[in-house]
Amino acid sequence: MKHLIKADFKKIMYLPSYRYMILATILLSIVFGIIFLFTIEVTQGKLLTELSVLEVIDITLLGMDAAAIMLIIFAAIFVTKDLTSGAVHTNLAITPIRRKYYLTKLSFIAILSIIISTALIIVFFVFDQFIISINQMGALSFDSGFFAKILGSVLMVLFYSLLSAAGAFYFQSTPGGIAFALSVMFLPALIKMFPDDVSELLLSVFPEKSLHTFININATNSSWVGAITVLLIWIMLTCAISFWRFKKIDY
Amino acid sequence: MLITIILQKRVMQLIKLVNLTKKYGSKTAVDHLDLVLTPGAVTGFLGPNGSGKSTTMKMIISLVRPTLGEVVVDGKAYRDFPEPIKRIGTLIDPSALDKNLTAKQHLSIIATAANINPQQVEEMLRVTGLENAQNKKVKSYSLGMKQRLGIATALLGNPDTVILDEPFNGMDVDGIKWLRGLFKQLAKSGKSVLVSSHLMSEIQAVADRVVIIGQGKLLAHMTMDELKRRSLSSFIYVEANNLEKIKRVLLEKQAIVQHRKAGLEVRNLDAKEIGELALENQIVLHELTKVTPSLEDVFTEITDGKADYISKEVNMDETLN
Repeated sequence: MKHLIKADFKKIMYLPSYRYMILATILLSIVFGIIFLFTIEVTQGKLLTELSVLEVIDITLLGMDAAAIMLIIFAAIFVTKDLTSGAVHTNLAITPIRRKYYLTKLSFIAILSIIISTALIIVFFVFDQFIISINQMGALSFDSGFFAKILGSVLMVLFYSLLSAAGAFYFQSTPGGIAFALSVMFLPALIKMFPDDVSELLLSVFPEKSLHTFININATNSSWVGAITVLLIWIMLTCAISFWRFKKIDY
Repeated sequence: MLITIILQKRVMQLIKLVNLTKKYGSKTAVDHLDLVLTPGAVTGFLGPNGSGKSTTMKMIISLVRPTLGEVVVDGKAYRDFPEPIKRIGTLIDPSALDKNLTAKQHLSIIATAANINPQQVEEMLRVTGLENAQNKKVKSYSLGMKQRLGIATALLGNPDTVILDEPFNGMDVDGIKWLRGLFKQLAKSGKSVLVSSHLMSEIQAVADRVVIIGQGKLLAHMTMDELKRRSLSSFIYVEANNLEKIKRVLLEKQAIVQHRKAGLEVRNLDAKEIGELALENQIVLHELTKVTPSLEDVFTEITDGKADYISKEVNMDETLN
């Protein structure tokens, strides 16, 4: 599996379209993070200097949403290009065990997501430190709340890109993978339009609430366990269904 | 150099197709196929369009799951080998690759994925004559060049068996000559080659054995010589000064005789017997020729009525009007 993942990394090094997409993911996320921070007066009616240190980090980390959307697109394209361009013949000849092939692709997407989101967090952290120091906003405390936010941001990118990859395997198409992941991401916004008791119930099964648990500094240990359980169920169920479909397809 | 590489391994790998069946809904693509591929031989795989050749090839390498039966490679399923590309190399579709990659990049990715020595990439580019085009994107390749790259991919793992689906398609004269030589070298070094083609003349030129399938069923599996011998198409053509007399004489000797052009088509007697009979009966022979059918004749004879898609002769003028 190590060699297969290495080959996938080689592929993104060789193909300019993948390289540009990763570059665009990084640049867009940074630009969005900076824009969110500098437009805070317009969006929240607060001056930048009025924000707490943790709020500054919180706002710039919104740029990670852009990374998540870009990686949803990337994951769907990456998975389906191999399946639909016919390259699957060669790939499955090398790895005829479908489970291994499936896990390799998901592992590659997971590793790539973690690398990109970690790199972005480092960039945001350096940028935030700069903003905090020039505005003399105080010192950043590396407490559990800070690390939870970082973990939540990495998990969000990882979670949605894996959903997209699994969706692409199920639908055998790029739009299918993207639509599936984006639906899971944005459906909660629609659900919130329902009466409170209904929306509360529905939202509890969607991953959005669980992902926000990590960002919420008041979250308890039990809510953390609940959030991780919901996310794991989503990933395991989605992957199991999409793998079952992939396993049955003749190429 | 290729010979050096392939001679390193003289493994006689046995591929068995046991009761292999594939159904797509109500359509049976491959129907209870039992077959053992002869090691160290080039086997031509023939059949009309839609006869199940590609599906069978795909089932051998687990791309398509059989509805019934199994494919056994040295007692195991293909997917059970830790490095299957080193056992069976395949070319199913030459266009089945990312067209934005160069030939070298494509082979390099496969070599990495299959844990194959990177030097083998250079070697395969040289062997397949793609050295000068190795840094060009595959999208600029002709079909013949894509075939060469597909063959390079199939040979990359130095496999014991090579399965090639229609490798002659799009090949120029030089490419066809090269392929013929390659098949001979591979078979000589103990490797099995299974090659399908619509070009009967090419299969006739390269194959030691032939497998013919029609509507998913095995119709023939034998050596080229056996195939020709068993065929009804083989006959003796006779022209004589007294055609009716020689026909009567031959019929008395239990020959099967039919009129053909200005002479007779004779079966069940060989040329020597016919010549001696003519002499005994004082008949002057103008021609006595043994007509050996081409593979195309034999193929047509064996697959007669077994094709799913048959074109009909039409008057194009009438059709277009």
